[in-house]
Amino acid sequence: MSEKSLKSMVRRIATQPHLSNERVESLQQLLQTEKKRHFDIFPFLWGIAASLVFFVGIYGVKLYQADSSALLVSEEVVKNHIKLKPLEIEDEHFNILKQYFTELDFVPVESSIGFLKKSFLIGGRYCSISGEPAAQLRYLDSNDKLTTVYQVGYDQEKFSWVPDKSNGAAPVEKQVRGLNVKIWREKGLVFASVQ
Amino acid sequence: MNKDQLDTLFQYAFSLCKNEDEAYDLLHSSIERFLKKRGILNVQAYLRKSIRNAWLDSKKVSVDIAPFDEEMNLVEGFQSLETIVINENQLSKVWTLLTAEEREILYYWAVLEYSIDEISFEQNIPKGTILSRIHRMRKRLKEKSLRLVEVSNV
Repeated sequence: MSEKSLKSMVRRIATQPHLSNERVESLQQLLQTEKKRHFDIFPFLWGIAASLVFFVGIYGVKLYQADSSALLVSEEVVKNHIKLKPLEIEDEHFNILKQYFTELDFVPVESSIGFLKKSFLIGGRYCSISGEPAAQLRYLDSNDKLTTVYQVGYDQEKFSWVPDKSNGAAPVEKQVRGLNVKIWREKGLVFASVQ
Repeated sequence: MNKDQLDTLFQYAFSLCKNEDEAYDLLHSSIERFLKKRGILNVQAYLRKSIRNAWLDSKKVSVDIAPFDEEMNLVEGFQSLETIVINENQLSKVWTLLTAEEREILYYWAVLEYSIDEISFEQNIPKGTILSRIHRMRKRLKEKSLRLVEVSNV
C-alpha cells in the first residue's frame, strides 16, 4: 500500500465531493436572478441618489450664499456702528424720528423684536446698507449699552436670504469684531442690529 | 461564479460538516447572504467566512480561542504536518477522527495552501489558536496509534 504525504491525502479527500449539475444550475440561477433584481433596482436607486446630491448641492450653495451675504451686511453695519457718526436728529420719540426720514423710499417702523423693548431711543441718521438708502436708529439701555438698528426697504433680489420674523424665523446672527449682529425681516423691511 | 468556484466552496463547507446536503445548504444560504451585501472585494473569502459562521450558528458551537502556549515552538506549525506521510487506507479514518476545526485548518493548508498568517487574517482567529490546534491535532493523531510516519525518521 503506497504511502503519501498527509497534505496530498487531505487534498484528495477534501476535494472529493462535487456539486451535482442540478445543484450547480440552481446556485447559478440564484446568482443570476439576484443580479437581475439588483440590475432593475439600481437605476432607480441611482436616480434617487443623483437627485439627492443635486438638491443637497443646490441647498448647500444657497446656504453658502446666504451666509456670505449675511456676513457682508454684518461687516457693513458694524463698521457704521463703530464709526459712530453724529446723529442727525436727537429725540426719544419714534414718531418724531419717523417724520425726519423723508428721503427714504419706505417709512421706518418700530420693530417688535424683544431685546429693543428694554432700550430707549436717542436719535437717528441716514445711512445705507448694500447700497440701499437706510435709516439708522440708536438706542441706549439702562446700562448705557448702545444698540444701533438699521432699517432698509426689502428688496427680493438683495435680501431674499433674510429670515422673516412674521413666519416665526429667528434672526441671522453674526459675530463681527466682537460685536453681535442680528438681521431679520419684519413688516416689509429688513432690520439689522449691532450690540 | 463558475462550477469550479462553487465546487471549491462546497468542498470547504463539506470539510466542516461532512455531509453533502448540509454543505449545499450552507453554501446556498451564504450566497443568499452575499447577494444582499454590497462592496465585497474578496467574494470567495467572504463566502468561506459566511459558510463558517452559518455552520457555527447551526451547531451552536462557540469559537475555541485557545491561549497561545509560550513554550510551543512556532516551527510546529504546518511544517510539522509536512513531514507526515500516511497510508492511503488510513485516509478516510483520519478524516473522521478530526474535529471540524481541525479539518478546516487542513483544508486551508492542503487545498488553499494558506499560511497560518493568512488563515489567521481571513478567519479572524489568533495565530496562537491555530498553532495550538495543529499541535493538538498532531498529538491526537499519534495517540490514536495511526501509523503516521515521520519522513525524517524513515
